[in-house]
Amino acid sequence: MHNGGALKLVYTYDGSFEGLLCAVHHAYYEHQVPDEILCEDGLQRDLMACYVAVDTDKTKSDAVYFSIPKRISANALQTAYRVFLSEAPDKATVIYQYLRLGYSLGKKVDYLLDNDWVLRAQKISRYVGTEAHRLAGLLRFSQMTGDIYYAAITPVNNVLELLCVHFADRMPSQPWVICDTGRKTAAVYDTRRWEVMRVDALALPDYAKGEKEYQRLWRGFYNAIGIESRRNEKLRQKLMPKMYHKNMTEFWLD
Amino acid sequence: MEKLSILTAAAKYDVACTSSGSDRKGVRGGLGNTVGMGICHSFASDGRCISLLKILMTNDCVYDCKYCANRHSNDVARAAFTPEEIADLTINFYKRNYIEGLFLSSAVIKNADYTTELMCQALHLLRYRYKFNGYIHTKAIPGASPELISQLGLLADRLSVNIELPSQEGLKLLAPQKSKDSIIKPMRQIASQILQSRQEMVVYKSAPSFAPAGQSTQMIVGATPDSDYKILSLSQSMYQKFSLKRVFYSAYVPVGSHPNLPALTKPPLLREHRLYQADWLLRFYGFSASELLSEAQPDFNPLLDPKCDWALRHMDQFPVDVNSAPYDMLLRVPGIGVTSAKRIRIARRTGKLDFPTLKKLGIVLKRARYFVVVDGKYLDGVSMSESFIVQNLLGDASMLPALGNGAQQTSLFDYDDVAMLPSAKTFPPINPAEESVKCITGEL
Repeated sequence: MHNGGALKLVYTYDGSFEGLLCAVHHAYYEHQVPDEILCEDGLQRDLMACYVAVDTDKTKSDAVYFSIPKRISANALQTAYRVFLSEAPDKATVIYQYLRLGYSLGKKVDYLLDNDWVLRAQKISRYVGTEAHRLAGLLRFSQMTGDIYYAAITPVNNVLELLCVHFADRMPSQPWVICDTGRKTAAVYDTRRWEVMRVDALALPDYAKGEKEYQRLWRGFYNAIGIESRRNEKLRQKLMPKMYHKNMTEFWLD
Repeated sequence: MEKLSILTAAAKYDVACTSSGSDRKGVRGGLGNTVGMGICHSFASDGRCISLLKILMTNDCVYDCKYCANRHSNDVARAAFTPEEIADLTINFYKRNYIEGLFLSSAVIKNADYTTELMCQALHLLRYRYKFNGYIHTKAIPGASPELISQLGLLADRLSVNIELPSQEGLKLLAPQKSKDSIIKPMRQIASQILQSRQEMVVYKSAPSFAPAGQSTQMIVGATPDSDYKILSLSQSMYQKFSLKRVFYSAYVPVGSHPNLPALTKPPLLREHRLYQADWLLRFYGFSASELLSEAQPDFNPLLDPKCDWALRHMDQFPVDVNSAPYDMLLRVPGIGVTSAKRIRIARRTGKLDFPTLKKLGIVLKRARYFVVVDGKYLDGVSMSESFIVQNLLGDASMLPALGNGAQQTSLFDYDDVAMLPSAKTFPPINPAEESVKCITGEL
């Protein structure tokens, strides 16, 4: 029952946030402390480990979901979710350990700044938040025929949903599509609600009339605003890493 | 297209490009929101953030300020936007997420009132016809009538009046058509209207908000012989008297030659950097200008940042114990910033701090180690002399922007080492032999 022996106890979940919360639920009610929680997909089985596959159950995941703001804090829920959006290989274990501490300490868990799990959870969460904030600026829409605004992104973390919240507030009366071309997911907003869906191939309409002209104007602006005698490529590079350039209008050719 | 390039190039010397200070949700049927901390949308080749569409209404100026690229006597291409063009460009750039809003400034065409009216028209179009709810920063033109400035404030998020030259003498020399009074008057008016609007909003939720993101200004550094102390003192009084949100500093970029202007080859970037560092110390760290500089030491030490420089001149207040020092004192330790100080304050509630924990919390021990102790002990248990600390802190000098050949700046090698650095009085080190060995091997 208890993982006192040499075997490592590993929970596996289906890769969804709900599945992960069910693993937290399972550990709590079985009085177990798994050493690791891993996603079923791409799992490499270790001979020296004991695997428990946790089923996803909406009632259980809801119970955990709603208990977090009540028993820990709203902030802890946000931290856990943002860590989930990251690509850290040990993210499920980090979330589990962070929440486990949270259930025993309440909101004070975020004061425990010398605990490695807490620090790591906060650090990953900050990293995801920073990338979302950065992309809220660097993302570029193009106007397509039919007055739909389309943007492509290739973020390190899965920040698409965070961006949707931002753009639905910013352009409430404008239909838009944001496509994470790396993960092959797209968010579609129809002026009322947005929805994330899987897309394998996206058939894009042509640019709207005048779109090319605005892109040229923007490049003109971008090139005119820099002060030559203060040129600082290193700083630009640091603040706007190259990996984001390919989706940005200012770096496209005419 | 050409017009946009001309009027952008003409606006680029304005430093402010922040979209912070306003937090406004989007509205149904409208376009745009604002985010408290601001959003950078791109970064120009000089590494500066591009957040706003920064353009001039026109660069056709009646004034002839010597430091300005748009001065009347300068032979450059002139252009002007109509209010419609500005509104259209802003909306289309905004929807493509190129920008966070508009920064509208202008050269003075005909007179200040006429120029301000044109700017008001553009903003009015944006706010009412296009229902634009995003960020707008606009310049108040010195000399415009108070009614027009009020109108601008009700349309914009942030207003700014540029001081440009930090002294009356400077103005006389380089901008004889402007006076200190014509600059201070609109600043005072804006400050009082912002205050009034805040008070009204407490009473009526629907009271019109006047420049909700506050007021800012800009000073040119290095076009006049004014000292750092003078500039910083002026900033401090601006923050206190007019509750400015920001003072921006702009290293003077030579855009013309005139007998009254210094002959620079490069903008004094390091000096600008030091002023920004000190500005942060004023706003977030509880320092005052007279603590950092004085008549006797009117300029910043190019080799050390202002906080380190202050700490070394006040070694009697150090070291501080991280477990007991008050928050205000933590803020004064080099290597501890606002975030770290807050984290220390939180972390020490749940347990005692030691050096490994400090490192985890993100404290820059490379600098802080000389100023903090745990249980009365330095990291490695070494007590240090001031000159020793200076030597080690200087190891960071490679991080500095290149020293510009400013009028007030000499190259690194011109310094009489001893004269520039704080006096080399030493504190009795516990183990001088060990100390000097470590110093030589660069171990510390």
